[in-house]
Amino acid sequence: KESKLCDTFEEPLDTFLEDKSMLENTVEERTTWEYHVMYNQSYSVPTLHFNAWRSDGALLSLEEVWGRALKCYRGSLEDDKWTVLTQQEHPILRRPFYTLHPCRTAEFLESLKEKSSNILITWLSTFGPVVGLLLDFQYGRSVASANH
Amino acid sequence: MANDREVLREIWEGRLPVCFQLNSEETYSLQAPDAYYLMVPRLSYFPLVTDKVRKHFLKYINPEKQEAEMWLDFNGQPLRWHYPIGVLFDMYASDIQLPWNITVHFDKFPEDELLHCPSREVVESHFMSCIKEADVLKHRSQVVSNMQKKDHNQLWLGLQNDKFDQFWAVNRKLMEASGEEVFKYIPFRCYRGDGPFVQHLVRPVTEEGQKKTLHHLISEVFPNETDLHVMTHGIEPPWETPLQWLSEHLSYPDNFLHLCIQTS
Repeated sequence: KESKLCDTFEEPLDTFLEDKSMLENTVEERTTWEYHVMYNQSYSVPTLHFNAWRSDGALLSLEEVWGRALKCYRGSLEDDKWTVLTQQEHPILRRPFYTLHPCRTAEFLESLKEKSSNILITWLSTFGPVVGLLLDFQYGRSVASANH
Repeated sequence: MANDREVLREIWEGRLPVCFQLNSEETYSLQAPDAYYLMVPRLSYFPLVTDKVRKHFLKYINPEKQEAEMWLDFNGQPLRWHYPIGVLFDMYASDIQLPWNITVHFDKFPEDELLHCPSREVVESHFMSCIKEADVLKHRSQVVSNMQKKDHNQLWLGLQNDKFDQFWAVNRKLMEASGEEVFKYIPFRCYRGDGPFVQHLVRPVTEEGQKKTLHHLISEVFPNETDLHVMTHGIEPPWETPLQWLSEHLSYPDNFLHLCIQTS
């Protein structure tokens, strides 16, 4: 009996264990996101600025940010990514922030005029998720059709 | 319409002498590298004109950092590459004696101060977004959106390759007031000390239809302040210069007036 036990323990641990997931290292990666909504005077629209940092303090790269945004927007964003989402200087804080470009926003807001009682919330709930910002459902409750 | 071609040409050909030196802490080799001297165009952006600077210094730094992003500082201040070179110079002009001494870095990129610039596409994207914003201010964005992609490319290539005629063949359309006599608003940015730049909505004419001048603009943006000096392209334009003319002739290729404000 003793020798049998010894045999078993000479085997490498990963073949011994049936459930190999116990061997995996799980490191939790936390990303911290900061969002600012600013009014862009030139375009007369709101713009969304944000940053995202890994737990070691490093800023997410543009490629990484696009990677996450693309999950929401297959196809169309890929071609236009350079004109939609890039780093820009924050107009007040002067620090680099990832920014959703305002050019499309004006068109989008125009199309919402008759349909939403709070176009700011409709805008934010549409574009926010692209960059990881999910609004609480309570915000949605406050938006009613303007034609009620 | 930007008629004064001589002025446009002079502005285009502005150059600055720069002495680039490697940050001494990053010198890996036994021998310190020679400084690299270069005449740089005022109207361009540092990432477009410093390929040779990078090549020159790369061999003197840690061999494991050959892919690192280069960044520049003057007097300990990281230089915002997304501002045109001439704007950066005018901002620091009082502290500069020619040649302009700039320090080159490959390490410890200041992410909380500088935008990343890993490729020319980043510069192009920034440049084109300034052009679009200027167009929104001048023409309600009707000119740029009606241009073909090849016209956008021509603006960018004209700037990159220092081709005045190529650039202005397209830019003259952006400098036309399209139907009206004047632009809706004047695209401009004012830089003062360390704070964020100032940008307001300013019309080139009064409500009575009279031409406004540089003096009007500064009074609107900095009310109740006297003794201010406005510098752009290394000169102080006369206070009576009409805003419409200023915008058509003294804008940078991004179609913005970049004005550095100093107090006496």
